Amino acid sequence: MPLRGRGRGLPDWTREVKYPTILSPKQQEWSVLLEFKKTDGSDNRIPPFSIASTNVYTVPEGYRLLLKGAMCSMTGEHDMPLNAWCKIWLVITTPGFLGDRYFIRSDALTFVPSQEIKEGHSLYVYLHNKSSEYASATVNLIGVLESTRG
Amino acid sequence: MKCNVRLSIDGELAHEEEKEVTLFKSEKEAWKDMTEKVSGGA
Repeated sequence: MPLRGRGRGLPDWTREVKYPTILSPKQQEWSVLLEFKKTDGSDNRIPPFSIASTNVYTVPEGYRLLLKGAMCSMTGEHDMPLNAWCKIWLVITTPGFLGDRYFIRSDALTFVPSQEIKEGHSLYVYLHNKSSEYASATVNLIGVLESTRG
Repeated sequence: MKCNVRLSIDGELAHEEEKEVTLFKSEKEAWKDMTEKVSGGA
C-alpha cells in the first residue's frame, strides 16, 4: 500500500486508501436538486390548490440517464412540514408517464431496476399542492449518467 | 414563476439555473399538458 505525504502540521505520512466504486469508467454520479421557495427577491412557492411543472433535465447526445431515486418534501407558510396530502408526477417523454405518488410532508422513491432515459429525452416534475397554503418544495433526483459511446 | 435547478456531476456542482415553471389550476389541465409532452417527445 503506497504512502503519501500529508503537508504542514499533519503527520509526515499516511497510508493512501483507494475506496472501491460501483461505477464503471463510462458512468458518472448524477443528481439534480429542484427548489421552489421564497427568497428576498422573488416568491417561487407553489400557490394553494395548484400544480407546478418544470423541465428538470434533457439527456445530452451520447449519454443515457439511469434514474435511481427521488426525494421530495413540501413545507407550509410557517416553515413546518405541510400537513396535507401532496402529489408528485415524474414524467419522461419516452416511454411516457413514469410515476404518480401521493405523499404527506416528504417521501423517498427508489427505482429498482433503474429507469432509463435515452439521449434527447426529457424528465419533467409536476408537484401538486393540495393544501390551502403556499408551499415551498424541494425535489432531489439521483441517478447515473452513462456514456453510450465506446 | 421560476424554480432553482442545481445539477451535480460526480458530487460537484456542474450547472445551476432558474427554470420557468408552468402552473395549473386543475389536475385535468396538468394531465393534458403531460400527455402532450409524452406524445410529442422532448
